[in-house]
Amino acid sequence: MSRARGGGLVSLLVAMVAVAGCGGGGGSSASTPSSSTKELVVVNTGGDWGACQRKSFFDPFTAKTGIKVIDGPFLTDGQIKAMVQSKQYNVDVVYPSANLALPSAGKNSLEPIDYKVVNKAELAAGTYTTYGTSIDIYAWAMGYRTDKFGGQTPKTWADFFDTKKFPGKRAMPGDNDVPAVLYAALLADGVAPDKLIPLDVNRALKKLGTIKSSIVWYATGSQGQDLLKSGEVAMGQEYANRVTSLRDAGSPVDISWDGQVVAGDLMGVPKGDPNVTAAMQFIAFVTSKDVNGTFSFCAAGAPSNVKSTPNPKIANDLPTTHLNQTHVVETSEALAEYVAAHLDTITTSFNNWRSS
Amino acid sequence: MVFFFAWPLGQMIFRSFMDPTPGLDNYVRFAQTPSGVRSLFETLGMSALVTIICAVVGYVYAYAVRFASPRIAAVLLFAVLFPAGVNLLVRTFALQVVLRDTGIINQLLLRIHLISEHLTLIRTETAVALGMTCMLLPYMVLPVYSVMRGINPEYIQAAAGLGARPIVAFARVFLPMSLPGLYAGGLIVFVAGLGFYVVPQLLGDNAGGRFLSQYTADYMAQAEWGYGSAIGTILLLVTLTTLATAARVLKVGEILRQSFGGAR
Repeated sequence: MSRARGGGLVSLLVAMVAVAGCGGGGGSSASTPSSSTKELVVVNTGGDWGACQRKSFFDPFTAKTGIKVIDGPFLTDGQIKAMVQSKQYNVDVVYPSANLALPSAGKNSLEPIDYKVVNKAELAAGTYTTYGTSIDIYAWAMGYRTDKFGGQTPKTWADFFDTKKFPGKRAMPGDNDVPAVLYAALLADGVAPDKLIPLDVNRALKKLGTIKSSIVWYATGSQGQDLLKSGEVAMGQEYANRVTSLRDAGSPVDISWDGQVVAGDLMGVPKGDPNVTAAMQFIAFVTSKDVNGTFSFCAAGAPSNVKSTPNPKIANDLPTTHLNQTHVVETSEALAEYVAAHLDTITTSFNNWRSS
Repeated sequence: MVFFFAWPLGQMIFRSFMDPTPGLDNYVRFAQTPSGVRSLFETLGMSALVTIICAVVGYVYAYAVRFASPRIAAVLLFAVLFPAGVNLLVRTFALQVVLRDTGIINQLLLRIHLISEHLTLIRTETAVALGMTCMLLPYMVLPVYSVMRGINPEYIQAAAGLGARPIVAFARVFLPMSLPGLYAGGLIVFVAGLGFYVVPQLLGDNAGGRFLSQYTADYMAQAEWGYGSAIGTILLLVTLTTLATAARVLKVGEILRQSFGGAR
């Protein structure tokens, strides 16, 4: 899941877990024919988030269908592709990136989502594709220290890039989600959210260049959160739920939703998976209107099903509550399609700029 | 051995030439990507620097252990070995807490008004060098100490008896005899350093000074197996070249026998 997804460190660790997991419970379900699926292996990255998934999604699914849900490791797109190529199905429900779940990229790696079973009419726009359906919605938003700016409150990405008015270092997920970093820079430079494509990488890099020496690049959500918590940075582009949880734990931080980069946590099924029928049933179950909202009662993930009822207590901390402000939907097909087609150039330009 | 090492390595090398299209494309692409080439030199340069630091510090340390009383020697050896048993991630996080702008050193110095602005300790090359030295020092100390133990102190007494001053006796007799340990330790530290990931990721600036392992991670996550394999092959080639050169120049086989065979 994206909150735990890391460009490097975490994915390396997870890769090891994935390898270790091959010999474990995961294998047993893969050999079971689809008609009599008894067990389903679903990615669960652990932590509070994972415990909440088990409570609100996994166990209720077992109660309803009798199919046991086993925690599987998070797999990167590369690992999903490798799994499909080797036909060793260790995980039945995976989290592909938005780029992999596209019609163009997904056909060799993922089963098309069965929208006869999954009710996409109730899902928020930009949170489902041919090969993936969002289980929840998360966001990259601006988190800032409330004790560093003498009572002034930063609001927009333009403020984020104004180190005169708001001095201090900035945390950005350069080792995790390069496109999200570029979107923030372009919004700060005055580009409207619907004018981001075609992505003007050079313009974004030029804008980032104005605060380059102040940026601290990080890889995982926990690293970004720690930078803000310790006061190492004064502001950060952070996972929204990590900022609000810091604030709730008493840290002097707050969040600005203006210009948030919204994305769905897509679920998909590896191509050729023997448990595809049960996997589709699972995806339909967790995105259904009665089940999808229950997740927000134990973690700050917004439901992707617009008809479901989220926890009213944390409604103000959910990305979906703030869609009336400027925002970018990262998993929208238009944006994801463009990024997928140019990911190489984007990553390479960014890396070349960053190391220069 | 063939199954676990040669086969996957062979596959990697094969892939670097075949995926996505047959030919040298992946290698050309790497050569034309400044950030990639810079990472390669960063990896090599930093590993070399750390090897030198480890050699100097490790030699002095091993020397102290060698000529300390048995009890102090045991304490000193324990002090260098014990941290090696603690997880590398944990030790790196600890260093991060010590070095960062809001960390222990800076807060202490700020509180006693020695400095008015925090010192830039973390996210620098210095921090990476320090971190890697901390992690790799035991691998230098042990072989050097092992070789030093094999040197009969009577040789030095003999040199002194023949009129050599202590410094001359050390430089002309003891140092040359202990060099094999230094070479062995240097090789281990250098080669191990090439593969570092966690230390530069958490202590480095993640901008100019990225290690090759960090650079490659971006492309592996995007399932660019061919390009990733090409970078892996380049690093493998560099490592093997280093080993081969060392083997020829320093007669490594002999050194390893001496270091670990317990020459007395």
